Amino acid sequence: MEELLEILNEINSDIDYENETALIDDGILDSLDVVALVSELNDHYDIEIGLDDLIPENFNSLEAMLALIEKLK
Amino acid sequence: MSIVSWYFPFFIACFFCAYFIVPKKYQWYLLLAGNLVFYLFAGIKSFVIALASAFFAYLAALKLENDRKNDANKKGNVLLCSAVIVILIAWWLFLKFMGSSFGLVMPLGISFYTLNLIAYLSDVHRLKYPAERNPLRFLTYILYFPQIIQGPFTRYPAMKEQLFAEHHFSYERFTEGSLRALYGLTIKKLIIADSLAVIVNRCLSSYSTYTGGTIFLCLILYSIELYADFSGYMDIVNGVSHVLGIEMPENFTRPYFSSSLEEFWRRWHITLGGWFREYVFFPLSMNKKVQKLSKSVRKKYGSKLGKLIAADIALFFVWTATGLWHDFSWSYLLWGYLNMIVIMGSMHLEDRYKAIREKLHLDEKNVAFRLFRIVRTFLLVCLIRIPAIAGDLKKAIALFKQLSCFKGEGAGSLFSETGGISLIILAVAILIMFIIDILEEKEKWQEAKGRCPVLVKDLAVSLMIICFILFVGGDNDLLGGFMYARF
Repeated sequence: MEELLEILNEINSDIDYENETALIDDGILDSLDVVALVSELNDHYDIEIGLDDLIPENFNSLEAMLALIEKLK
Repeated sequence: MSIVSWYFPFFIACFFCAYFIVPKKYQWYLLLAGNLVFYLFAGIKSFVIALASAFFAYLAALKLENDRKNDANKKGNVLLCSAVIVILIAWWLFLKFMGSSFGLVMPLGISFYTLNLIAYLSDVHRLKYPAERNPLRFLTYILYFPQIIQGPFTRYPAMKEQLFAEHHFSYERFTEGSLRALYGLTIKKLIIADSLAVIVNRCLSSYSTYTGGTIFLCLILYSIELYADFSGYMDIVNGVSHVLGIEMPENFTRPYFSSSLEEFWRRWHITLGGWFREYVFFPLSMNKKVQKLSKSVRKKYGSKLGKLIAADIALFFVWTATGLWHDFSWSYLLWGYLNMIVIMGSMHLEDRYKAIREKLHLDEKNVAFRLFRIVRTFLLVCLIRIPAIAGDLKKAIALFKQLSCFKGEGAGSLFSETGGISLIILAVAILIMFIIDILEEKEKWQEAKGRCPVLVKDLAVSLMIICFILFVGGDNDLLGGFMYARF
């Protein structure tokens, strides 16, 4: 979780990732953030996030992102 | 059938009555009949092309879904579908250029329903949702008459639930929806957009005689006209649909209150932006080759550029496509690229802006600073629109040059041929639109409407109906429809 938080804070450090549950639905993370985030996650965790994984439910919260990373590892 | 005509209120009144009288299970058949009648007004050739392309998409979706489910990697079918869609788009672009010379028909709303068809086929191919089995249901969706001319773009699952549900008449929905449609049609379209169109067209047709200041005022008026015209149409679409019990997505959320160009594009023509994000931006930026390039750039030039390169590549294609979607011309391509340059520039320079803001102790929440950013963004939007307004590159360059000209007719000359009463009505209408937008922005519009005395509401409705009677088909209705319908 710490690693992921570090990556997310690099994208945008003004967001309370630990408590937000609608990062995409509420437009807190925009499409440019998502692309940068996917690129970072792919690189850092050596995973391949595909187009089909790009749904709000996978990126709305820290937990959802962790679950996606676990699934793709 | 033009929505700005006597036919439409008559058509819609008859449709509302029939829709709530027929047995609920037959409501969607009536919707289909309404779609077909509405589309038939555009001409039989247009109608046949629309039916043929819809039928093709219906069959293609079933085939693509079948292939994916059976794990059959039949690239031929995907290629065939892509080829037919490309032909459809090429046909539409060809008609835009040459149609009138050859007497060919440009099907009503082709640019909008082509994008809806692409979205549908792409989603079904990616197994996001099942293909529609019933061709009549599919036709009800793809030709849904309120949205066929100018959108908004919709996704099939969201529409399916509503189009085929049983809807009971609700007086509250009827008054709410009718009021919104009437507001969009009279205040925004007939009074603001059509009156401003006369002034703006006069200025642009002899722009070399005006001073730079007058041209700049004309650009501001054009921006108000475009917003009133397009969002007015959306008010009609959403209002009519609300009466039917169908909620359409919002296409505008007060875009001129944006504090950056990027925010503006998240609030202007929202569903088109969503379409390009879903079907162009993400597929390109997530492409393996682009991601690989991003990785190598990060290693060579640092994480900042590495992160942005994928978005840069995708944005280039998004803005090329957005420009060409509006019009297959160099001027619209330039308009797209100007938007792209500003957005990319702000992405790359974000850290520097942040540092400057901190150095100058500028708080983003500060009202004066926010106001400054809103005005700056609005003026930027007005300037960037020059190539789009000009229609060709030569005129666009001349317009840019004319902005620095001090000799010529002043701003007063723009209004010299418009009557005093007409100007007062126009100013009051713009003020009403502005106040409503501010109230909506502050989320106080619903509360204000609730508190408004019935007498005032009745008076407003009566005035809007009188305006409709006075203005529809009048001298101001020069465009014979909505501005975005030509895209």
